[in-house]
Amino acid sequence: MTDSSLRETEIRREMKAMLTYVLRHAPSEALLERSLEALSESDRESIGLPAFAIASPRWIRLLEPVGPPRSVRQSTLRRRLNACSILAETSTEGVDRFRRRSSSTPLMTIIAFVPALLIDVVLAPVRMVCSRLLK
Amino acid sequence: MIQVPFQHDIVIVGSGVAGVSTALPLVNAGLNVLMLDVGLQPEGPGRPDMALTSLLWQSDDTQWRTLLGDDLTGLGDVSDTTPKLRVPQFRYVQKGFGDAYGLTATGIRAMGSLAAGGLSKIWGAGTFAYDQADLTGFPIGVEALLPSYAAVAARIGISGASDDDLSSSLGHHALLDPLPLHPAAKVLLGRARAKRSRLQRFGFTLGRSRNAVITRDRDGRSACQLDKMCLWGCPRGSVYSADQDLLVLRARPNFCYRSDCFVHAFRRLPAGGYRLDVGPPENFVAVETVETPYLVLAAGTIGTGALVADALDLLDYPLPILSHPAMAFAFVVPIQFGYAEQERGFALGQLAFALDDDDCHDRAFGVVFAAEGLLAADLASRIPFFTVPAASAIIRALQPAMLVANCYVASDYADCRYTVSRRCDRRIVRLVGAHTTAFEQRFEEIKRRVRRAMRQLGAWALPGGARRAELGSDGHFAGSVPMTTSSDRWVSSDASGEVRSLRGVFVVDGAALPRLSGKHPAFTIMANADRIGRHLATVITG
Repeated sequence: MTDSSLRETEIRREMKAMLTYVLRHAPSEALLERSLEALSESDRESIGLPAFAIASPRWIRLLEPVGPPRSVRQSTLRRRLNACSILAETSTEGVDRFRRRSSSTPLMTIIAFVPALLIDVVLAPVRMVCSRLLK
Repeated sequence: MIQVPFQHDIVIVGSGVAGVSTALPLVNAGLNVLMLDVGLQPEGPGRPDMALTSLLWQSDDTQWRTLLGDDLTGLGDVSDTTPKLRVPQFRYVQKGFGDAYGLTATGIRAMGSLAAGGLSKIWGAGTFAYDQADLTGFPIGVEALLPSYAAVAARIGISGASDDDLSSSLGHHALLDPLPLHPAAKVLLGRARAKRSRLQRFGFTLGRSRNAVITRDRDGRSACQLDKMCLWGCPRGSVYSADQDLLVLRARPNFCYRSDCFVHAFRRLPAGGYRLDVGPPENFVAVETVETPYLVLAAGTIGTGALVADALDLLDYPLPILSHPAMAFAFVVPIQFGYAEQERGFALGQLAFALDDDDCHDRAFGVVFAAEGLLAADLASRIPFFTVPAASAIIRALQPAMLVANCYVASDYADCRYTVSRRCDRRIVRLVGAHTTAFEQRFEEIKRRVRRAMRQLGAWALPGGARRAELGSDGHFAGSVPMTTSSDRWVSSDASGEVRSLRGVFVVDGAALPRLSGKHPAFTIMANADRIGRHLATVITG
């Protein structure tokens, strides 16, 4: 394998992990291709996500910086996650993750997001440490 | 006055709201008008005529093509760009403008357009008349603008209400029926009526927004279909844009429109009148000349300023220009928790508010939008601290109850300059801008007051939901050739828009406004251009 194809494989794995993290399921091939197309030529470098995040994308949560990004890798991660989110919302497989067409009770509305919020609060100290892996 | 056999009575540069607003009274007076414009057109097909909700949930997985564009440039840089500037359908609107003027900007985002219809293709359609207090620093009073406000309102069609607390300060012209409000906005408006006196203590007044959006079919335009896709353009022409009037003008025998004509420079002719160097924008050299006895500049504040400074040989001098300091807020209305996303709605301004300081000297002005017209992922990316899954869960739950607001303060809170230079026969325009030191304090005060007022109305501010916008990011530029009473500035025009030292050259766009109040300036730019057009018609026809 040449250097460039190795690099492409690495980026592909990272984008797949990020889309899986956003969608909470593996993305379709079409969505993955779209996310790779979205990367400009000047931005086609691997972030260097740790192996545990590639193997189990839910742990990308620990790598997201708590405050503003403090390194190029952190800001690239944030930028790509934002792009993955928009791509997911504008796809049939991801729109339900971002928008809600059915009504619910006010209590259910709060219950829908409070657990995710609490997890972030509880994990904040761990994120502060782990996000340094992307320094 | 000038006796030269010119082909046209008058030449207008630019086809934006100011250009067409000046052209109409001139053409109606029977004058031969030539409009020179680059006139860029949309590059691809417009968006499909369907509601955002239907589009997002369509099953063929092609919605991204409409929302982001085939080449995905609609993704842009999510972190710092106003969403509407990333919309693929409107990428052409700003295309080539920076290159054509050799534009560089520091501390401010420069914006202009070479498109047919100019920046009105991407405007927010807010139409708020200036009152006498807003006209502080103008050489004209509000009575000079009233007939033109009425004429422009009748022409473009403005929906809104004239019976709420804010309406008295937004003008008394004819209005179309208001657009239906989003339920969260309806809650706010209802409570504002009930708590009027308490809100007045904060100097806060709330009412319906006024929008150049028609609510019944007219003039070949269709009434707003409430598809929530205003951000991606309006295929039915419900939202006014200047190219609609351009079509009307082009049907008139005494109006001539020439596209692909970029005016590189103009010079005074010894015998009177002006010679314009015209050519394609990308060549940087003129390929032909056009001569005219009267010249109207409507090339946009930056373009007009550059042309005038160049003609006056004011090269390498930093000249003042105005920009509108802006901020944005996000709120939720908890009483709306649990509601599903609205299938239909309107994505531009729902409500408007004014916020006076303690002395009532300094009025901030804002517009409230329903958040449903934006991409949820875009909103989620702006929530600090939380990870993507948590932020998207928050937005998914709250978006139907969420409102976003922008708010402007007077241009006095920004210090901006433009400098025109020539390098190797190419014009270069440098724009430098910064907020004044007083802005930070004003921003904090507005943030505090708006939050308190919104709390009274049952809306909670979202953490991290208040932010300062980059200067120029909404395109509200003005004052590069301001109307003034005295000639103590290097570049200025008189009350009729005629440039001092360049008799026969009239500035009609935002460049002519000597100050921006908190209100959105587009309606006043149109009214002032109409006023100058009428004046000019009288001067020329005698």
